[in-house]
Amino acid sequence: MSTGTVTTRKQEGVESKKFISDLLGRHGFLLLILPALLLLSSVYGVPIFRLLATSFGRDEWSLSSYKVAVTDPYMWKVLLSTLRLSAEVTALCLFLGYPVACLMIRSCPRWTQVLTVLVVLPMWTSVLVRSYAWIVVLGRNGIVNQLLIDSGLIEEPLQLLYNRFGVYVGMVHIMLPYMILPLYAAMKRVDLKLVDAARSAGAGGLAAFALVFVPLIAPGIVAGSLLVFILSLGFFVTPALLGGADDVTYVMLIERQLNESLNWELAAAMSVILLVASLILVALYWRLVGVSGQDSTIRAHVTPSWILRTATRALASWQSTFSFGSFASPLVTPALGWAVVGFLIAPIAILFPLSVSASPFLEFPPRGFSLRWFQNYFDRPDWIAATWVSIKVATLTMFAATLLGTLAAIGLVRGRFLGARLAAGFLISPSIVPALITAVAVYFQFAQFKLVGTITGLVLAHMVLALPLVVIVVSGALRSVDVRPEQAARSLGATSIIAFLKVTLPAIKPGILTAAFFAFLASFDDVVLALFLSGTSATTLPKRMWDGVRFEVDPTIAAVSTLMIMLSIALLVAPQLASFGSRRARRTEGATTTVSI
Amino acid sequence: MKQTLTRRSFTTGLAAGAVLASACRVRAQSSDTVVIASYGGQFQDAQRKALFEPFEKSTGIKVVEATGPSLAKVRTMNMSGNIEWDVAEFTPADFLVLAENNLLEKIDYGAIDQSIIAKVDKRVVHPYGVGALFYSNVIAFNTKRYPTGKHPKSWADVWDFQKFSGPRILPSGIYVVRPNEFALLAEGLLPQQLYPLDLERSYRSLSNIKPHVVKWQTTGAMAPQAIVDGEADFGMASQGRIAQLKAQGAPVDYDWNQGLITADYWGIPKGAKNVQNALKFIEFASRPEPQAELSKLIPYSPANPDAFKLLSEEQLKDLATAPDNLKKQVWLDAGWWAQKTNGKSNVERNIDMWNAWLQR
Repeated sequence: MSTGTVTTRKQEGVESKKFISDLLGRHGFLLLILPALLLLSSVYGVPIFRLLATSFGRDEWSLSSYKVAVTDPYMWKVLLSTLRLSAEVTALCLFLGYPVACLMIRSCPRWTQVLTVLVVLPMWTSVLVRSYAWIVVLGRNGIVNQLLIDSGLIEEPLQLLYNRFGVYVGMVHIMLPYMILPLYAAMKRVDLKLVDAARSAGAGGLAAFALVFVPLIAPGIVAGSLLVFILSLGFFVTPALLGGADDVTYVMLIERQLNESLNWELAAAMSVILLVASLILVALYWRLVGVSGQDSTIRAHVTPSWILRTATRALASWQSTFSFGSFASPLVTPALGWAVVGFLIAPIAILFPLSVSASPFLEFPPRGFSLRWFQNYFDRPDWIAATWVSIKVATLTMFAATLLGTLAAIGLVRGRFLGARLAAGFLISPSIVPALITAVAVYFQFAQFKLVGTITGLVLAHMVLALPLVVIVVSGALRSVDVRPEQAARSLGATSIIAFLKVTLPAIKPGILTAAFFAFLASFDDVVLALFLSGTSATTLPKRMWDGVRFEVDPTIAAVSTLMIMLSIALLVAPQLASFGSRRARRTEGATTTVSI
Repeated sequence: MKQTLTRRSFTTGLAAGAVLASACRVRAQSSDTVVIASYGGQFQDAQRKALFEPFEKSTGIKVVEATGPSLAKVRTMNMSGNIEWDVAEFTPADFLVLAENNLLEKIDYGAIDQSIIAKVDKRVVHPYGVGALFYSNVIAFNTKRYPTGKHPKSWADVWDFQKFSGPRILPSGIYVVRPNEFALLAEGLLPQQLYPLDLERSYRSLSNIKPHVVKWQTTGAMAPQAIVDGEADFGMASQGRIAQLKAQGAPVDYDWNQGLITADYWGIPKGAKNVQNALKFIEFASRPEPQAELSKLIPYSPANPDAFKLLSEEQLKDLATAPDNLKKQVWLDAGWWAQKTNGKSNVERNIDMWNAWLQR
């Protein structure tokens, strides 16, 4: 990375420029990564390490907590049922996500764009808002039951909430986009003519599908499934709000040990067990799919045959059940695809009428029209204060994470140094650690430094969530950028820094902007970290909403949810509208897919 | 132990973080605020109007609100060394356990106006806290499903799923109001036979009704919400919240019969940052005027009987301490809940039993 210094400028100028570029050449890339590494080490690495230490006893070394965690039959039961729940949610997502991906691949570009927005929109809506919406939709007097009763299909309302069913619905709703996008990305790379060729060569629809199409999209299936499975392991908010007393997930049990039984060693040991389980799965994911997903087609060849067989069988049974054997039947698959898209959007749409209800308590159908709940939101200092805290924290997080993350991404992509892969792995690792475990670890650390209940503490903690997203998105953008213009600039005499700033930086600007959006939303939507770190003096909006769902009867929370959804839509649709059909739109969409993989 | 941990993993980065933090400290801990924790929702809305806002006006001390006081929450704060609350309203059993475990500040009665405290009901003036109000947890029901008169009138009725079908809502064993007394009353025990509670028997009784319980509430708002929106047809709820919703036109009603009456206390968590402000608040909240205001907004019974004089006949009739209502109810024995068996209070023993019972 040394610079050609053919120049006629003043000697000292060349000297200093040469010095800087040499510095950059040798240590610069390491220096670029350093701020992000230092920050993440202190607010995430050390706390996680301490959690590990705590699990072996706080005063002296002992394995007793692990002994309890491993031998207690209830904890085993919950761990196994959490694994089972994750597997079931994964299977459901694959089943329901597949027709949507088909729909996206078969639609014209304009409709594909619309579908992408519809699929991504729920991802941009707070998990809390969506769980709240399901409470309204699935309730005993909720919309679903009322429709079923009015249509005469049932007489007594069905119990759809506060049981396993409610948990399935809530979780599948949150996880579906994480399945659809990798599937769609994989399908996009498949040459559909191969399938047609197989059919014209005499293969039946099912055979062509199972033998040709499924193996071709296998990387997408594997990527989506593992992603959904890993993320499902750490679910806390959804089962807590939509499940019954028996629907306890492993992280809920950890939270209980921490906050009710006050057994910190056991909570730490259980966190480590879950962390190890997640890491094993991630290692599998990396082996099968690769970090960036770029070389996934090659990796498909090393995909164990049993995964392929299982996936093939699952999708084949789907095909035979719903498409009557014909490959991607022209009617049934799109209908199902649209139904699933409707499922994705419905709970979000339902909050609007509720938020303008005149009734003093939540009921459906809403009575009358009134803006009193919006009024209540704007009049209440606790809601407004929480909103300001969230805006402040998210903005600070966005700037800090985008800056540090972009620098780190440049260092990682351009630098060639020992341990680069390790550094990259560490920087993006928080994205696979269940948020509750990060929260527990960070909470212990921050409590000692009196950071709980401060904006600073929240920003530092949210950096843990936001940095990996920025690193992933910006490295993706950097890798896809053509390096030749920059090389040309350098050969014409520009220093490497100037060349980068003037040529490459503008090219990756959309990627950086996307990363900034993600960083903002990661902070703005976070419930779990805020639950532990907000205290009373820095309550964020999602924390206030969490209390609202649990402590309040009035529809103010519906009004707040509506406002949050409108913000999401504005953030999501604005760039799409601004660049409809342009190259940038494709890039934004690409970035979205990268993050979800 | 906290110290050894700090030493074990102290890093320069964290030290820098701490310096940064002390520079950016939010002003909540400064001497002109008080952090008050209560039970949220309509109840805290009423407290805000009757207590918090007038307190701010009269003293200039800013009130920061928090929700969900419980024994576990105070213990966690104590262990982590981050005492977030300055004063909280505790249910009586949690309050006594906290007091006995040295988790509350002793009330400095010398710093409070004696003439106000002297008027407060003697039964609820305690070395570690002052009574906030009397209230009752009662049978509440949705009137669309069970019109008043045809509703479940006893806990035995609530447990009788043949006579009264439909989903119920009952308190969770980890909530600050426990299901055990109601389970034993449903078994036909008389009030004088209730304590000491036979916890084993209460869980056998709970097992009978478990399949018909749609949700085990862990906050005060859950039951009113579930009964209003029809998620549950009936169950246990705090009387004041139901009475207030009924007054607003919600299809709900309640029955005083076999209501479990008790008092909540204001207490100051040990190590609270603004103890003096907390004491000022307790003094203010013990005055008859704000207590009467609160009762007008949500019909809970004042702990300072002077407040009764500021209420109308109509308003007095709705209170748990009204003689006609009092004779239908059962007194909760918080002292029993605070008693220890094998070094563990009955409150904590019951949490273990609840968790074990849920798994069965």
